[in-house]
Amino acid sequence: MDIIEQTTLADLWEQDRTSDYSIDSTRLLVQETADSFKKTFEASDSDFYNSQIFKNLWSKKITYLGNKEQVNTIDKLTNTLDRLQQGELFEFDSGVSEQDTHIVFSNGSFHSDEKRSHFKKYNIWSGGWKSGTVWQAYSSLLEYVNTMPGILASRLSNSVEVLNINDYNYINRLTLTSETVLSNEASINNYKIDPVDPILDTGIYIVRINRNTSADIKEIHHDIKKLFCNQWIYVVDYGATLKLSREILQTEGVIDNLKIIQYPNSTVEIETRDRGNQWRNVDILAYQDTETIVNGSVLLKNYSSANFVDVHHMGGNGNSSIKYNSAIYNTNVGNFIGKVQVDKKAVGTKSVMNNKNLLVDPGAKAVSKPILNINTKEIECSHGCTTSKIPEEEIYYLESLGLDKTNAKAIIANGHIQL
Amino acid sequence: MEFRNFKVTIDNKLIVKDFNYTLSDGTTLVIIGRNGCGKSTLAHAIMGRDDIDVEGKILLDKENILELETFERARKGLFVSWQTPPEIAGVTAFGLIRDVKKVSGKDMGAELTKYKQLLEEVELPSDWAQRQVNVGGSGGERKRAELVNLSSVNPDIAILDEIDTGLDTNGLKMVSEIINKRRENGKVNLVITHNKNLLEHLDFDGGFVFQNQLLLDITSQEVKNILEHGYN
Repeated sequence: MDIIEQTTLADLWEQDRTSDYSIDSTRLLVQETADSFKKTFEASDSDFYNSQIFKNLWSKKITYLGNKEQVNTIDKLTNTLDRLQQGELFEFDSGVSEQDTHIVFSNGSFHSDEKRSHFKKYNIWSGGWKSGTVWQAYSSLLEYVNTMPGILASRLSNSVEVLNINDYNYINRLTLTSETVLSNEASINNYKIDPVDPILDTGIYIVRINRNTSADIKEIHHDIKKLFCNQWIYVVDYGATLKLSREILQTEGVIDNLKIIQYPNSTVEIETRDRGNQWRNVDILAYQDTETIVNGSVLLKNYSSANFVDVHHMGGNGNSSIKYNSAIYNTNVGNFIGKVQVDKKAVGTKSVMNNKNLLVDPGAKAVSKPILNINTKEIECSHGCTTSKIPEEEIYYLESLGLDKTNAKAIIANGHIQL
Repeated sequence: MEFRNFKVTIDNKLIVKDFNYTLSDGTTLVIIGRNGCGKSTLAHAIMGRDDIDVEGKILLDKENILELETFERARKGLFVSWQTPPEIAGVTAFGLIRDVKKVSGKDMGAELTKYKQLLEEVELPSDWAQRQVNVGGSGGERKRAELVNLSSVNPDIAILDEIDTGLDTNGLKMVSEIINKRRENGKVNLVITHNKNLLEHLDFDGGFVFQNQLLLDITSQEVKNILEHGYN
């Protein structure tokens, strides 16, 4: 029982703890980078960390299982992962691959719930404790880990998980989920303890969609006993397409940072379904001739949430569209901060940003900040945000068809958040 | 349905006073009156809109429906077609009726087929089912959609508020046929209109004219005469 530690993310952040299992040089780098970020962040009065939902999640009592339990997990995983052939990060195209479409992420690992096959579709590789290659690659991406939750996830995880998608001929469809489906899966879910506070599930996940490859990925967080704190990095190579659907089902909260690096001629479409109790930052770096679509459907019945979206156009002729529609109940607060940055050389950028909030109940609140940071000419950028109540006329129309007020409001709210 | 000393006011303005009448099953009555006299207000007073004050009683199955919420009146078989039905973004036309009728699971397919038949009857395209409620619809299309709701819900008592406006000649005939069929099936229709052309195909049993806050009971011929020659 000595492995259980009652703590909070805030306490873990203060402890400057870095996993014992990482390669020394990388650990040092992670620590140094984290320290420098930490100083900057603590000095700044950022919108990022001022919302109540962030404070709630950051100071929530959690159970940290530490590294000992993770070792057990890794031992189990190793049997499976040993069968995976290692190669150079982002370059290997051989190895045992997956036919299946259901991959579980848990405590620093992707793994599959299906039989492995000979189809060459995905290479899943968990390095960390065996090779420095993944860490080296991760280190090179570390500058993109730029939020407190992202840095904390980086410090607490003992491995970096890399999913390399490189099939030219298929649209690769897969699900990354925190659910464990089969009993023989290696997972932190198999713990023999039943702590009162939610268990911290933290990890770093790198997904690379290689040149001219299409990937259709679904991320699902679902574990009623866990609070998730993750760092995601998606690298979308030249001409590649990423369709990413992000869904949170029942959890004790999700606080994470997503970084997407979009190479020229690539397309990224993100669809987020937010049902509250979450703080998520989506940060996209887009080079020239890219297409970026970020849509959010936010339904806050029992919890508040915060969504940050930052699309940074670094090259010319990029198109981006950001749309978040929220329906907010009770006294919950929906935070949306959207930012579009256009660099000097990003001539020809077209960008639209919209945030529509529907306050279902009188106590509900929406905080909406659209920000444009334009540093060049010959661009078309616009933004709009609206916050409104449900028109009485619409409620009465539905009532006159036989729906009670609660139902009528729910139908209108659900309609409002349709993407 | 029986009106007893029914009185309607809105924003302290008297619309109807001392209305006493008993509606019989299988009747269609036409309600006429000059612009602004309160025909729509009357319709929504019966349906229970919050901002309209009412007095007296409307008895339906021995229950005073004025004491019921709007949705409860609807569930007891009351229906109002709107003169300008609102748009409900993100909610599909069929999705709404599915929720109203609480259709789920295996009954969904049959209900959709039925719904599409109704769309065909009122000459709306079958993809209307998947369109957002009234969003982008023309005046005529919205009226046709109201008729689809009417036929889907199939209420005992329907108040149709200028259901004919925005409809072409074929549309008027189609509306009349739907109302006539309801009448044959023992349903009650209160038809608010200014349009004498609608009456060409409509089988009706008389009507009411608004005069000095009174609803005067008039014959079918009187309805036609007034619409033909004016209220003077």
